[in-house]
Amino acid sequence: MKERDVRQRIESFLKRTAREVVVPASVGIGLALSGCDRTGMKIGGDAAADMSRSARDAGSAADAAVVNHPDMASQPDARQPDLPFIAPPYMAVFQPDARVAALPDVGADLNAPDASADVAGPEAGRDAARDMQQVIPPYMPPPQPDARQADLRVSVPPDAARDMPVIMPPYLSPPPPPPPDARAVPPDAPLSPLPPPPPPYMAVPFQSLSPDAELPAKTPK
Amino acid sequence: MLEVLKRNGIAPRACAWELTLACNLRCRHCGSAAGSRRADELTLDECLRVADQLAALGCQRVSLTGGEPTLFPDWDVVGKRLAQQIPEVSLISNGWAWTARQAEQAAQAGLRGVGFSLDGLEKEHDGFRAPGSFRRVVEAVKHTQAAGLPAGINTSIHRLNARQLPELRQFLIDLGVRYWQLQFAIATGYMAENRDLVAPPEDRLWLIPQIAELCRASDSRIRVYASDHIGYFGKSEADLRTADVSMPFWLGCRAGFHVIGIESNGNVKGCLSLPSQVQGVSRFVEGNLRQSSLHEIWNRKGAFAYNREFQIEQLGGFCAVCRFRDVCRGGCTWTMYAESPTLAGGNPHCLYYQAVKHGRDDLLDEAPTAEEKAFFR
Repeated sequence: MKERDVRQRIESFLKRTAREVVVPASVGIGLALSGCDRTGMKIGGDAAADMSRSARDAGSAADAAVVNHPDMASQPDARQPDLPFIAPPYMAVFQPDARVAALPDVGADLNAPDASADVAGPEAGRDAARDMQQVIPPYMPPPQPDARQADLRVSVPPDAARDMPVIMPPYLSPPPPPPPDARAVPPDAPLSPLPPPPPPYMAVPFQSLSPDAELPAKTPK
Repeated sequence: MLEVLKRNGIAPRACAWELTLACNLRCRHCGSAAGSRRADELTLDECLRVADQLAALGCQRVSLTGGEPTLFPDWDVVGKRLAQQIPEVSLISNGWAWTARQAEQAAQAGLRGVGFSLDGLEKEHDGFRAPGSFRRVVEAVKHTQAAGLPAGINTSIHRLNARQLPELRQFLIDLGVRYWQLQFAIATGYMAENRDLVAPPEDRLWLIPQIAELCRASDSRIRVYASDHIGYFGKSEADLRTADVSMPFWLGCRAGFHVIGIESNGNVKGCLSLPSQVQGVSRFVEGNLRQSSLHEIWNRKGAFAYNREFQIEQLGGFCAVCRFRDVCRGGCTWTMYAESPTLAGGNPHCLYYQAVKHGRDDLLDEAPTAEEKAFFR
């Protein structure tokens, strides 16, 4: 998405929500006293001043909610149609994704023969590729004999051509063993000891690099 | 652009709650350096009051985490109290001691699901966690499914498992896992002592497009989510975020706007991942629940100032000249501070940063500005 598009969408959101701002009654009364009537206070082309609906609603205690008020969260807004999903690291997600719900294959067992197929016979399962064509969204690659493997064509690292197995670095000693049988260990039991400190070439002695720190003696030549 | 977040209402919609820092594993990349219990962890009664306060503030999602949250003796009682008031309550476990009994407890508590940490295939996972832990996670997933709960997986990506994601996806599909969240291991906690195992920032050039493709290929078998510290902008961006929103792009860190983190001793932060201290100085703790209510801490004037009162001058490095700087605000605050506590270096874990640096215009939607290009000359 280009910068211009990003900014247009933001601008559009801000304009739309500005019209939905309801000001507190005290502000409305102030506006009324200062001469603003039901025609609003739109002056010139200043979109930010377009608060006509706000002024009209002013004085109604029932509507005296201000955007940015913490209590807004008590409103049911689980869908949040404007902002992306919140996914902080180390939080589990168990929310239906609208993007997925929109797919026609939700809940369907793609490996099962299609009971609704026109011709259901011993080979019905083999017709899955034909049916898959109808359910695979356009951004997915065309169906292959094994559809499960074929639905992904991912970016690869630049050196993927090399057959480079993942090897645990030799300096990486095995992690400390957990308690003998942790399942039998009550929650308040003493925990296993901390792992030994890493070798000196792995640990970064950050604090010792202060200007006052003593430098290690040089190796005599 | 803070206005966008403010217009959406400032409320703690998503909460990560560390029930205890105690853990029965010592994973190499643990960002919170979990192991021993904090000296002053909240009691059950205090936790129940906090649960009520979270609900009163309109929280919509809570993840109980740790440490290993099941080492908090009454985790299911807290979970049940939350689930009675909050739509989506889940728990993240390392799966080491997760049996059918725990799965049944979680189901009875009304949790929406249980997430387990799985960081690669067996060799890589066990190498980072503990021998045998991979198989225990697989067992834990099955116990959870048998109890009628969906099981999710959280994977921390590091140098050793970065190439396994497509393979791991297929493994998870076969295991029946429905939710998979991806995140990068960052050099905090124990991982600060293993910096050489952090996937190098340059790898974002292929890793982030790959993650975007995994997200895009979500279907009824598995739904893939990218954590908020994966991005930003460029061609991959919309696939990394929710697709059906009017602004499917990163709008800046939402810690203190829509996200809150609670430590097991009652400390409140904008996001649980944020460090409690930066260079020895308390930086992100906004208050403690033993001294103030959650409502008071959340609404205190001046709270979460690093975000709510963000100034563009806070940014450093490339982020200070980036065309998206006012929208993005440097990306994930945790990642930025972990990389450079003074923010002088910007956020090199950003795709846009790396694409401009390495001249990979093919990953972007438009050519970088002259100012951006000049930064790396």
